[in-house]
Amino acid sequence: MISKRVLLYKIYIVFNIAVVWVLFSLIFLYNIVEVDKTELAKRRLSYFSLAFAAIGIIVAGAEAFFLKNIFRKLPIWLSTMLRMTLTFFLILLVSIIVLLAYWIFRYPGELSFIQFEKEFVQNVILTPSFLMLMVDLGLLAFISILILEVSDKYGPGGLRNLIRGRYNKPRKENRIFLFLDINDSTTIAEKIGHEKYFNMLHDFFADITEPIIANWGHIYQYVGDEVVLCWKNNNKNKHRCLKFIRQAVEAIKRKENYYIKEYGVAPTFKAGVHAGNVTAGYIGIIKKELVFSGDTLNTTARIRSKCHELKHTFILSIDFLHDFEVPEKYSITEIGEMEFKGRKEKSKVYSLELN
Amino acid sequence: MASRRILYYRLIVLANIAIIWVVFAFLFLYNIILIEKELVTGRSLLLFSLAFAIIGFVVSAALVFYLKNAFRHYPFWLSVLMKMLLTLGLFILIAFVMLSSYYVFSERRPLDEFADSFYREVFLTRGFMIFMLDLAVMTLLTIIILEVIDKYGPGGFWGMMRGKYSKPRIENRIFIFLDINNATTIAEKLGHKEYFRLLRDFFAEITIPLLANGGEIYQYVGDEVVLSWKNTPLNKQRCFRFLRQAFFLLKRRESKFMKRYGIAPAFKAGIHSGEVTAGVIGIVKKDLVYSGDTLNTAARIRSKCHELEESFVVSADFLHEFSTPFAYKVNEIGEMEFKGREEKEKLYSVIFE
Repeated sequence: MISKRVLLYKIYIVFNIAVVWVLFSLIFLYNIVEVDKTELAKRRLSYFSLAFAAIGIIVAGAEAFFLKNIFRKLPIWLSTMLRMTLTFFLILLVSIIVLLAYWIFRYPGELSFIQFEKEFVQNVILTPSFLMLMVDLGLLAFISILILEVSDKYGPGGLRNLIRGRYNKPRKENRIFLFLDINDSTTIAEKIGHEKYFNMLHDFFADITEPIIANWGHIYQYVGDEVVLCWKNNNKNKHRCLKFIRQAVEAIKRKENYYIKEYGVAPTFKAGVHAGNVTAGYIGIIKKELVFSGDTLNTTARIRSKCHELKHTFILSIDFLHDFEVPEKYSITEIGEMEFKGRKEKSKVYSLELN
Repeated sequence: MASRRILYYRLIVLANIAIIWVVFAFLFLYNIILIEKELVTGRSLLLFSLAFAIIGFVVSAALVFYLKNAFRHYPFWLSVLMKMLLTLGLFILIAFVMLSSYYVFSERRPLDEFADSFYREVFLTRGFMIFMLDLAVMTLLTIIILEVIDKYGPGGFWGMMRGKYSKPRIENRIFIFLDINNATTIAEKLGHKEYFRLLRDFFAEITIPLLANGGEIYQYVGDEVVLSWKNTPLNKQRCFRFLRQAFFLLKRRESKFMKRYGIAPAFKAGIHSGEVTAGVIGIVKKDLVYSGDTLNTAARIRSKCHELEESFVVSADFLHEFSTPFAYKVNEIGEMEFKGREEKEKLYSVIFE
């Protein structure tokens, strides 16, 4: 089951890469057109751009949807090589099909496959411009893989924020933060060993990724065994935040059998949710990172640690519930009070149950 | 004051980018040679590769050493555009100088004749235009690579490429948790935006001693930064040296901070070492993560600084089998419970002499 939002996110990446392809194609095409004047004089440039865009979309699509994670366990350089070989064949296949179609519809002469094959080998594959095209395409495939890898490092939207320069000057933002943590992590780590525990952590974060994207969440950072998610603070996102918790619980429950088979335990998690003002901006020279700073984060971390103390799985702060009508599917109960930094009075905290 | 280590780090980045330039040069050259046969056939390919390598080296040197932070306050796309314009000017200058020296020395003809023919025979040709276009693409790529390398931190990008952490591995590492004293008070006094700028300047200052001592920035957690080294006796020394250098560097910068913010930041740090599991985590946001009790303990040691009123607190595990250099004084100051250990462990303070 792949949610609509996940699909949209992937298509968005594919689209961006396709734009890069078309840009490059203009440069490369210009070179090729210059080289093989005789070959190309009769054809139109727009056809070629279109063909490039089509190939770009197919290759980037294949990368983003299928190839991206199949060689995950191998080092990047090796997986890049394997992926490039695969994409090379894909490009060859696509170009054969495209040319075949072109040939069938446009070629004035006789239609026979053997003749096509002969002409194809002679007039297309063996020309220097085709070789150059292949080298150029190889380069583009390589760049696509790098873009995918790098955009994963930045996270959804991270690269776009960087290019737009959104956080070049520190700015105040009102955000929802959700600290999420596996229950009894120390016990589990001791029981199954640290390496296995790390693999479980990886699987766990992988499984909650889909609910995160489906509900427009941002992964802010991983702190030890904890992951910090955030949203812009508005009512729609508060809904999404609650929906995320529900879907994440369901996603982990669905895979319970897998976890028990692989690790002997099925992980459960606790979460603390809070909302408030933070200052956002880039920090660091040799390791540049988008950082949210402010008491809101410390408070959220403390709310999360209250989960253990108050024996509740999900705890929300009053700031989060402010001006927000909780949907019927969730029940909220007051469970206590907590000191917030910089406030004289204690603030209430609530537990969340999924009905 | 750029130390040797920083220069060294920048030179490595530079060399890597120059290699990429040469690889691309072959590709582009092939294109150009095919187009401008008459212009190019007389010259050897080797000479062209060399020329490209030199241009690449000069351009990326300009980017690495001077231009990188030049337009930091503009949006990324605008700063890229400005950098590209500047480098384009640089290209034309270099191309002119190199071609003129080639012309003067190998053809033995006067310079003014060259200037004229340069304009006609080189500047206005198709090949030159394409060459410029290719160079612009390369510059764009270089700028992006520099940005991405910054995101990964030193060694992070190549570690990712090599697949160093594609399987989780257990490592023995030193961790320093470091943060500004009285962060909340300062933030209230300065306002949050100004405080953030202070934080940014503070982290920028301590980057220099950090690089000089081979440390790695693991992550920023709130107002705190977590630094890390591999656990070896040499690195323990470096770790101490980092504290010392950072401490005195901030002392030297005191007046600068006072002038800008009215406050001079000081920091406290907790140091601990032990085993962690290192690996890459996440699907849509991949990050190198160290997981284990060592980190939690280090964080708790840092928070002890406040309690014990000491600037720098180290654990017994860190001092284990490590003879403290004589410029540092280490005193026992208390005990702390460690997770998973029955007995309390001793804590020590560090003072510079």
